[in-house]
Amino acid sequence: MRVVILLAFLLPILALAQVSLGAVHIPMRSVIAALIQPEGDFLATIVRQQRLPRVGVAIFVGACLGVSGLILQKVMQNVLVSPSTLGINAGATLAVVLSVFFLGLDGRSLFLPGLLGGIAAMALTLMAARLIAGQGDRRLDVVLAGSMVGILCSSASTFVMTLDSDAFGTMIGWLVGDIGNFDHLMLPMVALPAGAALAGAFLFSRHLDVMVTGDDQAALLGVDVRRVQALAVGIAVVLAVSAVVVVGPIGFLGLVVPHLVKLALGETGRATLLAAMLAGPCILMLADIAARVAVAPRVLPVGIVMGLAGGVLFLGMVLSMTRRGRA
Amino acid sequence: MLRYALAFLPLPLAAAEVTDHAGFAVTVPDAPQRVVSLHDWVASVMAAELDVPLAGSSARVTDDGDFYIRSGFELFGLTVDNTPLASVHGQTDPERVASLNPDLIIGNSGDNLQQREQLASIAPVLMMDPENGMPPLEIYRDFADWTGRRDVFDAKLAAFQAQADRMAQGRDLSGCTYLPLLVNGRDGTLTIASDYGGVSLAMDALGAVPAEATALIPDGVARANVSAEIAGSLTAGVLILTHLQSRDETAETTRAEFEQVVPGFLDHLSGQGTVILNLPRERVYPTSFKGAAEVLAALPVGFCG
Amino acid sequence: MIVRTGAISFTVSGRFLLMFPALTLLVLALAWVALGAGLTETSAAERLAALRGEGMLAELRLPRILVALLGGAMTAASGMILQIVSRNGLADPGLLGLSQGSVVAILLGGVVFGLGPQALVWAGLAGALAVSLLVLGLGRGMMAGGGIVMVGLAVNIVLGAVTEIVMTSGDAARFARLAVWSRGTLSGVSNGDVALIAVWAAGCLPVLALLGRSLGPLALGHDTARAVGIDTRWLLPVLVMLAACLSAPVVAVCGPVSFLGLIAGYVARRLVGDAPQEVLATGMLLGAGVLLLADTAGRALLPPFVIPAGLMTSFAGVLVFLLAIAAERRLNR
Repeated sequence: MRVVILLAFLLPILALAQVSLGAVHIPMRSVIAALIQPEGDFLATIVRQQRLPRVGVAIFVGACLGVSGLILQKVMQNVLVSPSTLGINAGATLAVVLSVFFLGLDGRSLFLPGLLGGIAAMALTLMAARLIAGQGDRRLDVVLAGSMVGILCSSASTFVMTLDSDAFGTMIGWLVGDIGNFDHLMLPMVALPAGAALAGAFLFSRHLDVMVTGDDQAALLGVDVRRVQALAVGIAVVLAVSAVVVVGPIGFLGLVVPHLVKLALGETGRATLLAAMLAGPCILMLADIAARVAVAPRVLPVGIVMGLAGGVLFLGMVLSMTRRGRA
Repeated sequence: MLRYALAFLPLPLAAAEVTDHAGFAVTVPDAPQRVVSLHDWVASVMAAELDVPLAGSSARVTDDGDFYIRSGFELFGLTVDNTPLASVHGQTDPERVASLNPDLIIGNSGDNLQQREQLASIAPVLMMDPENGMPPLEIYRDFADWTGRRDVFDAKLAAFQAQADRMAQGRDLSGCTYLPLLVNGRDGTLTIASDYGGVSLAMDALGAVPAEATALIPDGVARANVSAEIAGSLTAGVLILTHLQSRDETAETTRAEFEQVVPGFLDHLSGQGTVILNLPRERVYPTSFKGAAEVLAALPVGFCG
Repeated sequence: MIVRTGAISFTVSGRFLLMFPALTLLVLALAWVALGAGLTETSAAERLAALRGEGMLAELRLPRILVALLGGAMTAASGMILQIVSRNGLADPGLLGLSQGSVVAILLGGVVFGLGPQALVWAGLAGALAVSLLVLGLGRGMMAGGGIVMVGLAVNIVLGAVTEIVMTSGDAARFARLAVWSRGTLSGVSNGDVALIAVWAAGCLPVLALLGRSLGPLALGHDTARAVGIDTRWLLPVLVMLAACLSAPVVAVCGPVSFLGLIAGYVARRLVGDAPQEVLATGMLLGAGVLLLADTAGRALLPPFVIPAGLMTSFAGVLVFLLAIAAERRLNR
């Protein structure tokens, strides 16, 4: 529980830092002034109308991806799976690119195609993983299959883009995953499904905890393994797609967060869900701050920063996992 | 078989060597009769305006899966029915270009540089770079020289200049600044442009000058992406906004996007006396006298007053 | 079966004797079809003329076909060498990060430093070598069990992020362009590229043939190899360098083509068994055939669209791969 409280303190501090940093640096004092005073100057407008909503988006996306990753890792009993390594992100992205181009859809209506894409990609990954099986560690098969599906989906996305690249002029940031200043306008569209999925995660957390003991044990304890698995995967996909529709495919948050949470709290209990909900936003905000400071005055898309940092961490996890496996 | 043989016929005797925007020195026919344009909304538009015989043009794919020559259609009625399809945007099949039997190919350095060697085996290839930081009029003049249409170009330029002079009514407009500005409603950035096809053609002919903010644009390119947070420092006598009509956008779409990204910005500028134009990008982004004339026509009486 | 030609004798399996000529014929037939496939109808006489280097086809179709054949074979060979070195059937220059290393080096060299095509190959080679040393170094001692593939995937992810930094530094058109190349396409291939690839193939393939004999013992394990007197201390680095030299020029010309090595190795083992030299020869034929098929289908199936070969291989390849495994499952049941 201490970890949760610590995170709960860390979150507002990082949020303030995220508001303060940007193309125009706003001193912390002005930030706080803008938050307290009802009327303000130009800076106050920037703080309230642009940067604060960014923080809101970061919290939403971080929570979605963190919890999604945690659930996936629990139910699949595999520390290497996450919305990005399973191909869910890439599948949802392809579906969004297709519907933007061919159906002319925008914001409001992208969730459903995204969800279909995410589910299809996930199903393809699981199918492929079953077929590759037998080349070694079972947990690695899923990730390999996911990377195949991911490459396939992103190749297809880029092909569609070439048909009229001008139509995607405003979407480059989204395509590699970025928190845009106005992504918050998308939040109302996905708040309902994401909220329902989060509630579901808390409601069924007991059932999910039982899965950690392994499929056989869970069945012995009277859990309908298949139904719980389907439910959990459904919740995780809805959460991941909600995040993708808003900010694009931001990878590895869903991989890193559960790992950290597990180190601090273990795997079971509602506190782990809460911790994932808080740790996700914290890490995403850290990455976003890094994206703005690293090569200032240029700004990197936060998805790229997450890719860099997440890739290094993934490498570390693989190394420690295989080393331990050998010992 | 015949068309392959045709491609190897000797070039017309009168031929000149020119240097294209990618730095290649190319010998081109004096008066090409079958020109293939691989840049729909720049080269194809110029060709249409200067009566260059087009053997084909690249086109884009619309959401219905139809082919569409952006700007060439809006300004001069080019369709794949009256101008054969030379390539789908970004996916040039050299065989299709060869089947049109061109005697000159105008490529664009962005999309076709990789395929230059293949295309050069079909006909002389000139690479065009419409956003290399050169004034649009210079790029247009290059195109006229490449295609042997300098006389047509000079005549059209003179007529257009006369029209601009009438419009300026002898006023000295060197203190009048103009700024083409694009907005990205997703990530909240603005794109400022120094050279913007028909817009620059029109404003330069009037004697107006690019706004101060264009100093932010690096050399060798025509635009720069900036954070919307610097909007407070942008000033101009004439602000030009655009929208993509072919993607179902309207003037209102662009205005709403500005209102969202930089609330109150447009009203603030209007209050300072800035003239704000909101034009279809298909008509004014390409460099053409026809599009430039529409920019002139859109200017209110007494602008920059 | 033992084949004797003068002083040289070697063992060849019956399946290989059957499969290799059959596949060779298949690939040749495919090349003949590819030479005729495209926008315009092509007579046999025109195709023969193209083979002599005459006519438009010799400029437009022939280079693509030759690069597809050579590049496919080289990428497949690179993958299968890595499979033997890492003792993991899933290794592939794409999966281990070699291709992505080349991509990053080439993008940085071309976009940031403005290098020419010849220099870019060397940049790509340096990138591939650096990554292969990194991956094999980190993955040392965890060759089996797929650990090294995971290390490669992780390195791939980091390098992919670097690629995206370069890709997003321009407008949408540039993003789309670089994105297409970074997924593999043969659309820009010209006669100059054929020469470039051929030079590297001519340099690498004899080395591969020379080292071929030692691959057998190596595949049985590094200890086995040492036991029959093979010095693995120099053989392994040389093989890795060879794998990098085989894949880098292909990446420089057509971008990384995913899964080619993986598919070729996998299918070849199913066709001819486990003898490394036979698998290598068969797999190279398969790699050549698959890339040629992907590129030809991409340019001829849906005119006027040109579907990049990288998209076709990852699509068709993944499909073929899955079908092959599924079929095998059914047979074994």
